[in-house]
Amino acid sequence: MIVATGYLSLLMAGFLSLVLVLASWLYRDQEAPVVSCVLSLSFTMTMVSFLALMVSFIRSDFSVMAVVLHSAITTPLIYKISAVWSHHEGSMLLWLLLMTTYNFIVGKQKLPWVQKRFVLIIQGIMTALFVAFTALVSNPFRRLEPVALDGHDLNPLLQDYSVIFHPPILYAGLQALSVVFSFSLAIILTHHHIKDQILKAMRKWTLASIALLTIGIGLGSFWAYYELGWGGWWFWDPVENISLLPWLAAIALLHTLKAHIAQASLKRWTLFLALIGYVSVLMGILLVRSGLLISVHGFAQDEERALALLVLVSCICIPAITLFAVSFKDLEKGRLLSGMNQPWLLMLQSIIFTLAAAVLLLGITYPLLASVILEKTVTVGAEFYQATILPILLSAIFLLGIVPFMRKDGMDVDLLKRFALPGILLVAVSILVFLWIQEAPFYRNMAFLSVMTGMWVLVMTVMRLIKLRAQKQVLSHGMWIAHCGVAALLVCIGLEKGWTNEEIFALKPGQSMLVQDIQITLKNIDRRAKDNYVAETAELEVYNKSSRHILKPEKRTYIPAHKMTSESAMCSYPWGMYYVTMGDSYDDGALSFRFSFHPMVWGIWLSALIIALGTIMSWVQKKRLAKTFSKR
Amino acid sequence: MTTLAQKRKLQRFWLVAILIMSLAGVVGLVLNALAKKISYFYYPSDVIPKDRTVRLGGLVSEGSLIKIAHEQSRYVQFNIEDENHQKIMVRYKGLLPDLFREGQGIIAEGKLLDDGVFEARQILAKHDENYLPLEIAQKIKAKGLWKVSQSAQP
Repeated sequence: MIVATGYLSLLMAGFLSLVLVLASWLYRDQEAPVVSCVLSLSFTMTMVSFLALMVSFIRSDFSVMAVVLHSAITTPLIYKISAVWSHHEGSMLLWLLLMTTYNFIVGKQKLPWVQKRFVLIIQGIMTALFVAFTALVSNPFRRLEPVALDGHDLNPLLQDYSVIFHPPILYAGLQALSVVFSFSLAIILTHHHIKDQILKAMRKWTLASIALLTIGIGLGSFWAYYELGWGGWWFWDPVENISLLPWLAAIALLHTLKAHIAQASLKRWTLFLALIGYVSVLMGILLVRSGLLISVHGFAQDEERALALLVLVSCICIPAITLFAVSFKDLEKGRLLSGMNQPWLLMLQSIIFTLAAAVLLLGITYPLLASVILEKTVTVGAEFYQATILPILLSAIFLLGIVPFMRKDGMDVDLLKRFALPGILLVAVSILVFLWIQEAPFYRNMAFLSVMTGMWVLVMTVMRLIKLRAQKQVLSHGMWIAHCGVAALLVCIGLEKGWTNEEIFALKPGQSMLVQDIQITLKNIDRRAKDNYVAETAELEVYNKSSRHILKPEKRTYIPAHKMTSESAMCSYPWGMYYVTMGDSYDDGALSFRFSFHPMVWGIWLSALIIALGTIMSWVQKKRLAKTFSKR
Repeated sequence: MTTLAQKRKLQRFWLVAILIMSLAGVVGLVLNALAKKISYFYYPSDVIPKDRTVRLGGLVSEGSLIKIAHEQSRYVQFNIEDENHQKIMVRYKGLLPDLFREGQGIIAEGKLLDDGVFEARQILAKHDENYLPLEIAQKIKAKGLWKVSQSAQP
């Protein structure tokens, strides 16, 4: 009964999106009440559908295929709930829920109907397409006959708190770009003068998207760090890289939007970037969910699904890009950029970010191209990206250090003079040290460059912030905070990548050994049965002269899933983290361990949070920003 | 007095110049990296070059996993085979991934040594949402209930 209701409301939501398209099309002149009525109805329908699937999971209804495959009687309640969006079919439902939620919010926004109408039409068409895809090709409510007695349990690796929130936050960020996409298309379609209202709404959605994506990607990386047990937080895996594409595009867009709002320049470039954001999201969906990429994570492969996805994605992307190309000449031209000022820098930044995204895309798809064209199987890994993406992004971030001297009308020479000394000192020291450590391996040189670039931006930005405080000027603090976050992120990444140390060793119970001035003792091994798994826990004592820590890495055998996972143990020391993973046991009773020191690794996620915080602050400050514009 | 059109032209010139310069830089970086920084994937039946880091993929042969524990060095050793039953011995000093099992598909990243042993610096096993043991998956498939997805196939 519940399952049937869920499926029916899913279909209803699709039907209602078509009604939305029709209603927005018919009411040309004025917004009719029926539109907001349809919007809230379709939101309710997807909500009902989503809740129906959730109830099936909570009640362990093993007549539903998805429940059998991703849940079990013994699965803890919280993971029964998160299992709803931890697999392909259910996550599509979450995707739809977010889509209709955003449609509803757009409906509530005060915007000129001429353009809002088109936004709703485009959103309606996309929602209908996604409903069709979900209902026809990846139906989460598919029945199983005969009913199974127990399920296969959720993948143990996904039974973790950070993965509960990772998909919803990431999807919320990705989906926000769909609204930006529709705004851009609506502007192109209406050929109208772009009103500030629309631009500010676009800016809001872009900011929301960046904040959510930053947190979502950060959570994913945090999960990979402590759950996969490899001791890394970014593996340059295609699926991970794909999540960066929309993030880079959204950041580039945010900066051109600023130039657009402030100086009415970069108009067509802004519209293009707004399209590209969601196009990259859709491409990501296609590549990740079709199994086209060779990845260590991601979804299972299915040819039928791949084909359907290809059709879905082309149905949205090809008309959009064609429309942009066809109407490019007719679009309103932006005002001229004059001299070396802020918009110039903003444009440069967006170009570099777009190039970085392009190279990333090349790296992701190169194995695919190589297998088709060269008939060779290749892997593009960390080394490739370190030699390409990193220098590109470093040059963009280096420019961040100049931002404090930039005004809308040119360089702030007074400020430049005052900041010159520390800046020159910093650059000189970096060059000297760099020449001195030339012999170091490539990755360490890159790491050093990252640290110094980060420091450069940090020093310049913080000095500017202090000056702002002294002058009691409160101009977009959010931006400065986000920039500090980016700089801090770079510093921490550099330190972690350049100076992480790893040791592999084996210990018998009671044995101890010295690893780089740290004494490690295996105290005890303990076996214990929990809810749906049996745990084997080692107790390691780590003694580093000043402090004593107990680390408890664990190996779990999940019973319904017949699967093993390792739980790494970690603890912080003032400048980083110790990280230990337990491996197999040897015949002589020794257990193998991998022990590593990660300098400043927690700073990476902290910086991501700072970036998100700065972005959110920029959003809140929107009103103040508007006032300064009106004063101008 | 320059006209607006001229200004626009000048600006477009600078824009194009910057674009071309940064594009050239990026293309240079990418070509260099493509030549030197990517690794090729081989099966045990392929001819594997010895001088560079490559990825070796296949199934872990049944019964081939040995753990060797000397006082000084400990490592694991196993064979990787492909459909032609060609085998290569792999030696690895690190920790095996949790999904590592005999009969399971894996990827080893490392170098082929002169003695024909592949020294791995990293072992990868795939994790995806459907991680059923093959036998169970086949049973479901036999009933025509579920299309089995491939896991751990490179």
